[in-house]
Amino acid sequence: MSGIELEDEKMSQPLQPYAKSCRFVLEEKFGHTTDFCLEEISQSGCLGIICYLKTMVDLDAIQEIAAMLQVDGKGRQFGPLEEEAARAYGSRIFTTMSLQYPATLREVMDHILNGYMVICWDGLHEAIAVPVQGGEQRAVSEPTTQTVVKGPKDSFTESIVTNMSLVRRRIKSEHLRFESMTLGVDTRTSIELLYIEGITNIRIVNEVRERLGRIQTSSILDSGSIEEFITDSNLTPFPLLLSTERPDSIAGGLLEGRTAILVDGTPFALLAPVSIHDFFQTPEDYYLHFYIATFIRWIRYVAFLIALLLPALFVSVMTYHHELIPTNLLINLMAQREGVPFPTVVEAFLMELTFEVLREAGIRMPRAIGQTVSIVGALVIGQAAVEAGIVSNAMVIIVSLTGICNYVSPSYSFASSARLLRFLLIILASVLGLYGTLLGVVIIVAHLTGLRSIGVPYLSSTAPWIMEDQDDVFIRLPMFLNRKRPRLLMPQQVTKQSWPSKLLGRKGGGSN
Amino acid sequence: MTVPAVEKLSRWQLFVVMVTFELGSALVVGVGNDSRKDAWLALIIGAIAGLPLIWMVSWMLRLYPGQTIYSILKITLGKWIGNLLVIGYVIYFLYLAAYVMRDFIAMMNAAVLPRTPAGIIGFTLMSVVAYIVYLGIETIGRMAEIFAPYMLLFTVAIVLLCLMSGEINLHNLLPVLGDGWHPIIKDVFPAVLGFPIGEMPLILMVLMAYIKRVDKGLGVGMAALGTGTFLLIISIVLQISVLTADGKARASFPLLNVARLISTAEFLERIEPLVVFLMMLGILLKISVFTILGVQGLEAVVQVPYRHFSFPISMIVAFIAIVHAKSFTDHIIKGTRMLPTYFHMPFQVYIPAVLFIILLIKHRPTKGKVGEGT
Repeated sequence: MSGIELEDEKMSQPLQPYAKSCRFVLEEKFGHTTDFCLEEISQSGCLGIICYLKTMVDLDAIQEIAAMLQVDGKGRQFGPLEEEAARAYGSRIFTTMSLQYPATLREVMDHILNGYMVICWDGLHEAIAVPVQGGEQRAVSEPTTQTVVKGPKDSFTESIVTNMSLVRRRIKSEHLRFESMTLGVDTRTSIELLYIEGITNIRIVNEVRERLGRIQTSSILDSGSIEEFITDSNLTPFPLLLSTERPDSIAGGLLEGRTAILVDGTPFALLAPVSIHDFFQTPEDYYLHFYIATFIRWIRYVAFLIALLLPALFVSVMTYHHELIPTNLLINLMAQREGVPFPTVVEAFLMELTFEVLREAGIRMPRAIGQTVSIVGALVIGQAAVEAGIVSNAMVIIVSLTGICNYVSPSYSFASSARLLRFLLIILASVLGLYGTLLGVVIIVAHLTGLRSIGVPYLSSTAPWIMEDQDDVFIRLPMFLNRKRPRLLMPQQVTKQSWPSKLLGRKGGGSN
Repeated sequence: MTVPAVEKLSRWQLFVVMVTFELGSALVVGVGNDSRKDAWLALIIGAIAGLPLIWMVSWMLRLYPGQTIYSILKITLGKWIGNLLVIGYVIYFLYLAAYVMRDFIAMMNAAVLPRTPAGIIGFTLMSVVAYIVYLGIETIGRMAEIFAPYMLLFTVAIVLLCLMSGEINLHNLLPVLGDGWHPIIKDVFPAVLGFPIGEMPLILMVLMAYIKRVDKGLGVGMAALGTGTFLLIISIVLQISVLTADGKARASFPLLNVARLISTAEFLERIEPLVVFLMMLGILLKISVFTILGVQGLEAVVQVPYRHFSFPISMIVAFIAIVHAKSFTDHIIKGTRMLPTYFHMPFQVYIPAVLFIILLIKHRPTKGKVGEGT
């Protein structure tokens, strides 16, 4: 450990003004990795090196820069302590580029690792880092997990620069802030913290920044790892940060007064803080007519409740409370169960587990054999099991309805919580009937009331009840009436628009 | 931005907690059976009698903002007498929790889980209560916020369904004051005043310390008393008009009997298990509030955070609930004969009144000053 610290100290000392020594250290540091290119250049007796990682740069740009250096053929002799020499030199040759001037070895290496081409000259106390980032990246495409019918069709990619520009293009405001940091000792992943100055509550920004700063880890490969580091509690099946690949989602969240975290190398960005209701909303709600949007929101809530509760309710009613079922239906159900050898709870578990297995297989299997699995799955679950008398028809309906309802949720990680809790509720239902199911629900509600997302109560707007926020929770009021940002986020600027003029007239010019 | 050190309740939360609290078990068991057809009148009188209690309690808590009745007792009466009274309150609250628990166990056994042992119901429910108490007062406030609309909805739904079934016969309420005022007054003092009216100042004694603006506590208390009483009166009028006064007095769980009679739209029959489960939410909140009041008293005595007590105390409550009475009849007799005289009156009226007088004497010369300070 002390060896590493000692080395770090050496690395953070000012750069020696000798290209040779730089070359020596860099070659030692990067070892024999094949993508590290280091070339010596010399002009009228003055020695320099250029170095870059060819996997990280745009090779055409390198060619151009090499040409520029050639043009500047007359060479330079730098005075040994000339202060601004590197800057003067850099700005003379590369007039239009945003250059960086790393002054320590650590900085030089960071720039090389981030796709800069670094030039060191004898006699310069600073190196010149030219941005030539390139390398393979995916083009912006349609989102794969959060699709919409109406609305923007772009989604984040693995490149953080692209992602930043996707957000910036939506919020052309000088108040939008990007704060970058590097996390992960080995991966040195770039992270951007986004917020809007003057809207986002500064305490929230500070809290997120502080939590990000506390992360000590070797690798960050996806925003999911960051989520687990900065979340308020890991002892919960519910996601406390919202992860999305939609730029309009992120932009909308920022404008409401949230912070966003972009992570290099993944199309999934994080929004924080969030309340439970944000997992029932999509950006599409705002692009559709508000009647429809409100209706769809309600469908989502109901679907979530079905996905969570239906099997448990069915098990408890079939096991303990026959009297709740209308007689004709009860006769039907009982007739179906005639030949089934298992108690309802076993049946439920059997089918739920089968469904979960099929679902997991559906995600992992190679595309080519998808057909086979779906046919087998449909036949196994749908027909053969019923005909063989292993499960009843009703249970198949219940399980498939539950499964479909689970897919309604706009957030994959939120839907997963229902998947997990469903099994807990089935067990409680099988032991204590409806009483057990209700106990389970009470436990879940109590648990939810205790949760916080970056300090904001998870059930905000409902519990604690915030009347002013109700224009955009269960009901989405039309845009011109939705004048305030959500209070639960304590935004610095609550009002986002004034009353529209046609209403103003009616209200007698009253503004507020 | 992390969890605030001091727990806070909003005024709305306090209001909702108090209303659900009052409805919690009063919906389950009959109220004002001795007043016969005039039970609703008894409730109104009881509520009017409850107003000075609420005023008294909120006046005392305004003198010491942020302090519960426990600290006020200790500050005013000294460590020893104060602690003794606090322990008395703790026992009282936990006994009430156990009492409500027993009501619930009996109802579950009567209506939905006839063969499940009382112990199972008691200990499972109290485990959940322990978890809620562990999560703290804020959680109780928020849970009340979440469940209150459903409880209201269900009360309205029962009334509507009864109307649709044609079971409501308002003539059952007549004649008003058929037996004169005497039985009503006898019923109000102490039975109706002790339960459910007097329980509202009880929670105010502790939970008012948690709202941000103590000076609004009185208003919240009054509003909660009014709303709670109003909803209870609706339920009682429903019970009497559907079951008649005799039927209500005979039934252990009158509202359940009402639900049993509902039969509409060909398929809405036998919905009483649903009614039971909706009542369960109120009961659960009520037991949680009583338990949390109890463990807060313990915290005041032994200076250990109340969350540490949640599980053991909850289990003790479950135990008391099962052993405190030999049968349901015994339980009801204890509730109507012993509780009002020996528990409700001293803890709801006498002790606060004495404390009130002491504080009045103590603070009379500096009253203006205190008013400025708060």
